[in-house]
Amino acid sequence: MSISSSLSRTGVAAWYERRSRRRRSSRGADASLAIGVAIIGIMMLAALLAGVLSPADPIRQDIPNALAPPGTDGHPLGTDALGRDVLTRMLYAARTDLFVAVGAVLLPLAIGVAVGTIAGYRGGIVDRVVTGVVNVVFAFPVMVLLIALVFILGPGIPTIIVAVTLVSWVSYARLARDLVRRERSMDYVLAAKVSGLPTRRILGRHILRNIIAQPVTFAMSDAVAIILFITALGFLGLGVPPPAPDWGTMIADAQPYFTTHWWLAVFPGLAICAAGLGLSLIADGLSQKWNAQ
Amino acid sequence: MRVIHVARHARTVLAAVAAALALASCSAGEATEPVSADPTATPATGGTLHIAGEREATALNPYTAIDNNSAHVFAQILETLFRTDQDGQVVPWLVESSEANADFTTWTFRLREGVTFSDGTPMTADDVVYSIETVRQSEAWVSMFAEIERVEAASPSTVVVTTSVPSPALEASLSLPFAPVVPADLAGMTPEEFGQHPIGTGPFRLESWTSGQRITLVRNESYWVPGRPYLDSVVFEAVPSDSNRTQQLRGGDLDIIATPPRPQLEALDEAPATVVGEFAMAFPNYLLLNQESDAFGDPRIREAVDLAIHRTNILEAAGGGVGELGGSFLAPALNFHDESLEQVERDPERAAELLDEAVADGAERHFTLSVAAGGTYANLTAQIIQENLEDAGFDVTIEQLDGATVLAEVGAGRYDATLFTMTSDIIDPLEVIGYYVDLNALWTGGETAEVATLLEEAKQAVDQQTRGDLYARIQQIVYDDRSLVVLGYQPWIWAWRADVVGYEVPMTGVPWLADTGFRE
Repeated sequence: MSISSSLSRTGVAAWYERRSRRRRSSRGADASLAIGVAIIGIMMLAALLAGVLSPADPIRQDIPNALAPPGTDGHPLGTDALGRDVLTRMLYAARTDLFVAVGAVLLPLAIGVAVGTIAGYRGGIVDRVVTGVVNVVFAFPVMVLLIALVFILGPGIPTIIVAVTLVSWVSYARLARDLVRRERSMDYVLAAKVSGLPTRRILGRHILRNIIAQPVTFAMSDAVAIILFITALGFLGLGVPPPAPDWGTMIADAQPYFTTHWWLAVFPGLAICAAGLGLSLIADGLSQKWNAQ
Repeated sequence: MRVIHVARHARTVLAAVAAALALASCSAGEATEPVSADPTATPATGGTLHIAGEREATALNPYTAIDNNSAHVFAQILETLFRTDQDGQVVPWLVESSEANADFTTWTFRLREGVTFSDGTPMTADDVVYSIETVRQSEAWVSMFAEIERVEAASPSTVVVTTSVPSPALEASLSLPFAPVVPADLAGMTPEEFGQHPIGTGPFRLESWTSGQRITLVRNESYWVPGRPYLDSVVFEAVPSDSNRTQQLRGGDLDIIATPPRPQLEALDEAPATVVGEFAMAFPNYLLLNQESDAFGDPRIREAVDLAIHRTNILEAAGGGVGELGGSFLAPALNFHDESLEQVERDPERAAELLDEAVADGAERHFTLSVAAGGTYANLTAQIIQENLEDAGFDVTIEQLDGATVLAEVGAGRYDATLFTMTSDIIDPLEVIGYYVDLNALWTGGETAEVATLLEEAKQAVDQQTRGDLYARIQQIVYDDRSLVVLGYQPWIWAWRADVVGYEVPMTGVPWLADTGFRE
């Protein structure tokens, strides 16, 4: 760090700088949040209205019209190797992928925060056991563990949600535990304790409200990771079983066609990028907003 | 003949430097002059050829390694007594001549003079006796050579094989790439050591093996065929992804690749720098229906499946239009393949009727189709079959598992239906029919007793016509049993750089690189 920059952090100048940075970041946070919500909102709407937006059947094959390029009559984004409409499959895939992402985030969020909060507040043997379990799960290579679980339980949407939940609740538990431990010695908690409030109420009403921002922010970025994970599973043939469409499987199936039929991989790839971008912007916006507060 | 323009390969450091200089001095960036490639040109001597398949060899001991990837490598090092040539003829190779007595129970092989192993020792009758004795006792091939009774060295250059029953196809059996001539007692090595340091009479010898990366073979200077091989060295690499293999071929890092992806064949063929070759129609594609499962015990259910499948669609969409249709479970590349057995005529209405009848008698509509994850052909085929059968009233679940798991489950009989293929290492169908019999009709529980009897008769039939008739009856039985539903046949497909000449693959699928080289 240079001398001038360290000097600038003192006194009035620093106060001005901090204040203006906070304002800027607050405006930025609103913008990211709005754009992120808009992207995800549009995608969810498109997924819900898939049947209306595209009259084609996402799984009906039409082999004589296979591999039609984008712009072909009735197929704005072309058809795949079995003659199925790429746009329609992408819309129905959004249902699968967004549903799995939401499911696979909410479950571990709920379980992890609950376990972490109790461990952090109670301390002692409960905390040591939970921390031990969390460390053990953390020590496993996540991808290997997930793939092993998918193998044991057999591929499918419920399996993906269960597998992701089993692995990823620990991140939330650790986060919540650390936050609660910090929080539990704060004056307002002590005051609540002294005034005789039951533990359940202290945790639910007071502590949880103060710590929930971080796990929720983390969940948004985790959802991006989960969409990528479903993609990876689809790529390994372990994702959503055929013929139901999902973006990852669509890209995996397109692999031999990369150089000759680009549309098969590019459009679902763009959809994944858009979903990832939308969720990242929401996470970013939320974290900036809460940090500013 | 098509004339192809090919960018000359910069193979040596000097040539690469020259090309770079030329490139630098040429503003348009067209450094290399176009050369019209001529497939009939004779190769120049020298050069290093990079060839890649899907998987690495497991071992170079022919008696323990039973996978084709290993055979691709050791077949360049170890030679057999007979070979199957490009036209599907069994020709003498390490033998000068072979003669059988009238009832084909005693074969006399006169060995070729002047053949030496790559360590300099001459090949003798003792080596041949040891080799045949070893292969007929090895676990993988014991049933194929079961009829051999005695193998004796009558003189240093004559071997006599006596069989318990007439064995007119012994020459074809001895063309098996897994039955090559090795030095007697493996030149003092253990089987494991020999697997790492094989010694043979072939055009190349092993130079180095970096596990997981490459196997390098160099020219056997004492090779007995004058002027062969053309190449100084051959590097075998394993590139599991067919798309990556194709990219590396396009970029010039590889010279020959196995099984380029179907969707890219046309582009590879049209590109001036690359050539696509389709060889013998040797791959039959089966849908196996397990009669021992709850799903396929009723023959009407199997017939319904057979009638409902749209084979042309599978050939078009999954096979990329490359391949043939037919009814026999024996590939067209094999001798005695019955062409008159045509593919089943599609009749979805009849399929639905049969299914309804069977279901009324307690059969099930649902079954699981287990396929290996990641393969384009299997993935597309499974989805087409699923739709065809669901249209006829079936309820099909596709289960994608890792390839080894599928094999293990199918091998243990724990499956309803799966996709399978089986290729032959010899031109005579006795090997694959033998597998069919030994493996419980390829784990389907189909008809084997009658097939086994007919196979024994066919193996001993001296008269070609009788032999053909017996094999035709076997094909008809398997056809009627409908446990091996034949979806179609595929050829061996390879692609190479246009400056590679003399590359041929026989029906065994094991390439022969002694005649391969680079154009001058």
